[in-house]
This record gives sequence, C-alpha cells and structure tokens, in this order.
Amino acid sequence: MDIKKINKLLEKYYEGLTSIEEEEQLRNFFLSEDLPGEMLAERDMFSYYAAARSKEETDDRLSSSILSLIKRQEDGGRAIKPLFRVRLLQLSGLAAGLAILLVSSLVLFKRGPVDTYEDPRMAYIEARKALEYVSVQLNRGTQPLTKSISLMGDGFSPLEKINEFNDGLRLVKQAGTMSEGINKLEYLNMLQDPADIISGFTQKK
Amino acid sequence: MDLTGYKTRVLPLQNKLLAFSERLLGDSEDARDAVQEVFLKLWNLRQKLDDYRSIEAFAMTVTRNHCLDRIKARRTVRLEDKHSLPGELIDGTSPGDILERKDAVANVKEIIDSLPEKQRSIIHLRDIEGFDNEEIADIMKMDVNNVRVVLSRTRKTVREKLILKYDINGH
Repeated sequence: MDIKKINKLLEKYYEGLTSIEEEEQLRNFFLSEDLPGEMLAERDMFSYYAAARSKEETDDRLSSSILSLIKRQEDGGRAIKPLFRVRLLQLSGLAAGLAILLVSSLVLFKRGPVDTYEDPRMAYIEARKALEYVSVQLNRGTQPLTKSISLMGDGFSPLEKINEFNDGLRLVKQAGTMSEGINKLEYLNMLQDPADIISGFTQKK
Repeated sequence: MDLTGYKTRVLPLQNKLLAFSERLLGDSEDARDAVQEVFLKLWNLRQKLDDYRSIEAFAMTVTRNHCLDRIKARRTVRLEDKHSLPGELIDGTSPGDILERKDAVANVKEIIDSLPEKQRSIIHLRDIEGFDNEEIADIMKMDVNNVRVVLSRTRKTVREKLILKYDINGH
C-alpha cells in the first residue's frame, strides 16, 4: 500500500472517521512493512493494539470456577443473591427494632408491686421481719471485714521500729563531725618539721 | 438460554471481559474476582440475553458497571501494572531490537492506562477490541457522535504523549 494512501487513512483515523475495515488496513500496514522513521508512534500504537486484542479462547480454570459458582447458586447453597442478602439484613434490623420496642414497653408500662395484705398491721409485721432478716445478714457479712482490719493493725506495729532506725541515723551523722576532728589532727605534722630542724641543729654542735 | 447456550455463547467472552475489567481496575487479581461475579450476573440474566442486539456488548456493559461500582467501593484506583505484556509482538531483526520494541509497546500501555476512564474505555473498546461506535455508545451510555469526538481526541492524545516520550528518551 502506498504511503500517500496510508497518510490519508491516518488523517481520517485521528478524526475518528475511519471504519473498522480501514483500521484493519492500517494495522496490517504498520505490522508488516518497513516504515519511514516519522511513523514510529503509529507503529508502536498499532503493535500494542494488535497484541492486546483478546483471543476467543477460554481458560479452563476460570471457566470451571464460574460454572461451579453457578452450580452452587442453583443448588440453593451458600451463593445467595446479593439482593436477597440485603433484604435479609433489612429484615433482621426490623426484627431487632421490634424486639427493643417490645421489651422497653414491658418495662415502662408494667405496674409496680401489688399490695396483697388487707390488714395494715400484718403488713407492718411482715415488712419488719424482712428488714430484720436483711440487717442480720448484713452484720454477718461485715464481721470478717472488722477482723481483717484489726489484723492489718497488728501488721503495722513492727513498722514503728522505724523511729529507732532514725535515732541510729542521727548517731552516724555525728561520725561526720568526728572526721572533721581528724582533719585537724593533721596540723600535728607541722610540729614534726621544726622538731627535725632542732634535732639537726643539736647534732652539728 | 440454557446452560449449553451459556457455555457456547457467554463463557467464550471471558478474555474480553477480563481484559476490559483489568483495564478499568488496573489489577489482574481484582479483575479476575470481578469477572466471576459478572458471569454470575449474566447467568441470572440469561432469560433476557437474547433480547439484546449483541450479547457481547451487553456483557461489556455489565462488566463496566460492575467495575465502576468496585472502584467506587474502594475509592482509590490502583493503576500499577501487574500483568505482563501480551507476548506476540512482531518479529524484530535483532534481540536488541525486540527489547526496544517491547519497551515501546509498554509505553503505549502506560499512556492508555493513565487516561481518564471514559477515554481509556473508548480506546480499549475500539482500537483494541474492535467494537463499532454504536456498540460503544450502548456500553458507555453515550451518544454515538460523542463517542466519535472522544475517540478522535483520545487517539490524538495518545500520539502526542508517545512522541513526548520518544523525545525524552532521545529517539
């Protein structure tokens, strides 16, 4: 195919006016013939387009996973239609809402305790009995607590010996003043020097 | 349509659907997952499939819608190149030449994958898969004339970007 015709086709191509057949001609041209250098872009474009076109073959692995997906759905297995799943979700939300409404209405509108005593005195005695029972149980419950608190007090008394420790520390501090005294004793060395001088003097004589 | 019809007329579209969803999603693993769901959808629509002018174009429509939903769900588009180049390139003269050709073809892919979705889809459908403008208009929910305008603009853009790359690489 001559280059003039190709150039004309390319012009149409860039305007989006070529037919599928004309584009096929362009493709064949750029894939087969030696090309002038300025057509590098077209050569690469059409090479890629031709190479990237999908082939009509099937991939067995993909096919079988698609078919098993379909089979699972048709068997009514786990592959639930998304739409149905959404509806199920909405329904469960509705059910939860109803349950909350029911429980709260039961709690809110239930009447308080009903008075079953006709004689007020009998009621008083019964109430007293109940309260006494509670107080006895309460006392029994607090007993172990008081015991353990006193035990804790016993544990604290040895800690009072910390005071003695403090006294000891005070004594140790006095050792500091003692070291000061020792420093002063160093002055005795000065006495030693004149003593040497004196002794030398006497020997010469 | 029954299972046999589905097997002979719908299943063979898998490479086309796979390539399109990979072009849209930019990830081959994602594309594989997406395509399986698309095929399940197509199975559930099997009673209506014969009403469409082209099952192929309809399958592409379902694929595109499904992929766009996926992108919306993940909010970010990954366009990294995880799949290898199509193997069959034209026979070059020397090994060095072949290497250069592979590079050049990779350039085209990179440029197309960097285009906005509409342009990317249209150039894929027309120049790679060979759908006509009417089918593309159906798939893209666009006016036919508009398809032609976008197609023209996209072809020019690809060329310009390609030439820019050659200049940078000192061809």
